[in-house]
Amino acid sequence: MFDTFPYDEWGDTVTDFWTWGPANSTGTYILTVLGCILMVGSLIGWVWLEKQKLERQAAALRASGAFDQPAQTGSQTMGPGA
Amino acid sequence: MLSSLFSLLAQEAPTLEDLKKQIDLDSLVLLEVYYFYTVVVMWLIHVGFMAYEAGVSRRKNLMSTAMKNILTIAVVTPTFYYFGWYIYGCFEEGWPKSGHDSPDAFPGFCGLTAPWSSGLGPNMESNLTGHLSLVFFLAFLLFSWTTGSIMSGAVIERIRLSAYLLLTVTLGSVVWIMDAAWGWSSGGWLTTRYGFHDSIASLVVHGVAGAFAFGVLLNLGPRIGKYDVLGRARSFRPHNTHMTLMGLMLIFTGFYGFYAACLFIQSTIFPGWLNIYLSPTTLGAIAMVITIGFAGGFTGGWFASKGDPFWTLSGGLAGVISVSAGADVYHPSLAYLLATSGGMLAVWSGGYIEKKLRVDDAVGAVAVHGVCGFYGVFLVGIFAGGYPTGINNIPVSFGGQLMGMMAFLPLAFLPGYILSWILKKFNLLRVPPEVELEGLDLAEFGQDFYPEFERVPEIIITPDGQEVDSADILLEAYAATNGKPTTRVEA
Repeated sequence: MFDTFPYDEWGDTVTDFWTWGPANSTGTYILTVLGCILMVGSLIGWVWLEKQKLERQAAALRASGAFDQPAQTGSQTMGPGA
Repeated sequence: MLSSLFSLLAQEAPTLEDLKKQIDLDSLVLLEVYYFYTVVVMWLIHVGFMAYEAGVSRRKNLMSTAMKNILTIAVVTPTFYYFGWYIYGCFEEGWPKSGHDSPDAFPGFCGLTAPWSSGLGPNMESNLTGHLSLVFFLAFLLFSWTTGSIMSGAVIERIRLSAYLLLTVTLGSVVWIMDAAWGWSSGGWLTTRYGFHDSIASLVVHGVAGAFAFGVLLNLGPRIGKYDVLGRARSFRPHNTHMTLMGLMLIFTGFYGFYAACLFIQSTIFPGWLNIYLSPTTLGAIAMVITIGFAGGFTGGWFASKGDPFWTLSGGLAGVISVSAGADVYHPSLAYLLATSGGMLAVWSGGYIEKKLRVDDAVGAVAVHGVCGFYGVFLVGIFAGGYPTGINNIPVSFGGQLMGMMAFLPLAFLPGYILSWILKKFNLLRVPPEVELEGLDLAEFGQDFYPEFERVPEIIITPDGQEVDSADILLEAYAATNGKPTTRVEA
């Protein structure tokens, strides 16, 4: 049925085409390794960046003395109870 | 192009071989379209979990709660692609074997689950016998996100975002998919040897995620102010109950996609709808069970909680989870009865976990998903005993179900407990107590996410049911921690 169109020819061409090579090829291995590096790097980055952010904020809050005394009801600061 | 069309119309009648090719193609397209739309519907589960958890959180933790659900997608998707799917394909016998000689229905499946294989590339010849369709991978990926989202709600308002992401990678791309390989596949050792039956994933998704979350909660500890000095539980008011209820309804809607994705259809290979073990079932059967499961779960949750709206809706979820394992074989009336008992069980076990065990599970995930997930598999051993499961036709038995429960409990609990313990030792599990009191949103994002609304005092509900301003209670609890993260309150 498909012989009317050059479907099979197109199909073969498209099937053969992979960005950076077909399955189990050097190009695909390289892409996989790059993807894994991004995956691991982003996880490490999330841990590191959040650690910096939280420690900075906690230090600032301790220095401000915000939690030394009971907060006032209806306080406009974003302390406990806000 | 036009001339080609005319020549097509003018050609001779198609041969049987032509028709067979056409039917094969149509069957493949049907398969892909079917799973594609299950994925679309299952997205609603994650929209729902995000809204549900964000609504439960206090105003000061809104975005940090939602961001966990969003970034679940960012971390589980690549990890599941690079090694999660491989675990499913190659660990059916517990450990990969050369040539994958377990008695599965898809010889060579293991080799097609590596990220560099033709099964996970842009292959135009995809089909289930040769090159596994990517869309089937995607349906499983959505299950993986779901396991992360189940844990996500339990740990809100004090866990570090990055700690949650590491934990959810472990749960979504290692733990749950390992148990799926063992007991939720045609060739898994629990299925082929013991007839383990959990057709719509009561245990392999929900129970396992709940047990993992429980292990994490033991190390994470309760939110500051959750328990008084006598160990009695206080309650935090959700900042937006409407958002929570809408989130739950979205989860329920997404569950229809989840259920549908647990079935198998390829009309030129199999005679009709099959469950994950390749045993016959129908789409109508499971859709009926899920619907009446919600009815029973709402009913059980309402009566057990004496009309509490949160637990009424959570009861619906618990009811469905309780009947999911046997959804392909249960009579609707049986499902109705069992789901009602599941809704009640969730309420009672949720209260026990909060008040007796003093584990602060912010959304009742351990009770709803964990307890009812195990309960669902237990029920199949009682009410569907003898049903032939899988390609070896091993009868379902109480012993086989128990074997699955005994295998999955440590498989889920220990990684959650051990990884969270390690993170705790490195002080990477929990936010500093000052940040927890102030609210995570200011530390993480530098802003309040309701800038146009007046800030009102935060309310806490005391163990005797009184609503009071939380400020003094929280400061007192903070002082008791000496600036260190809180631990479990001992009576």
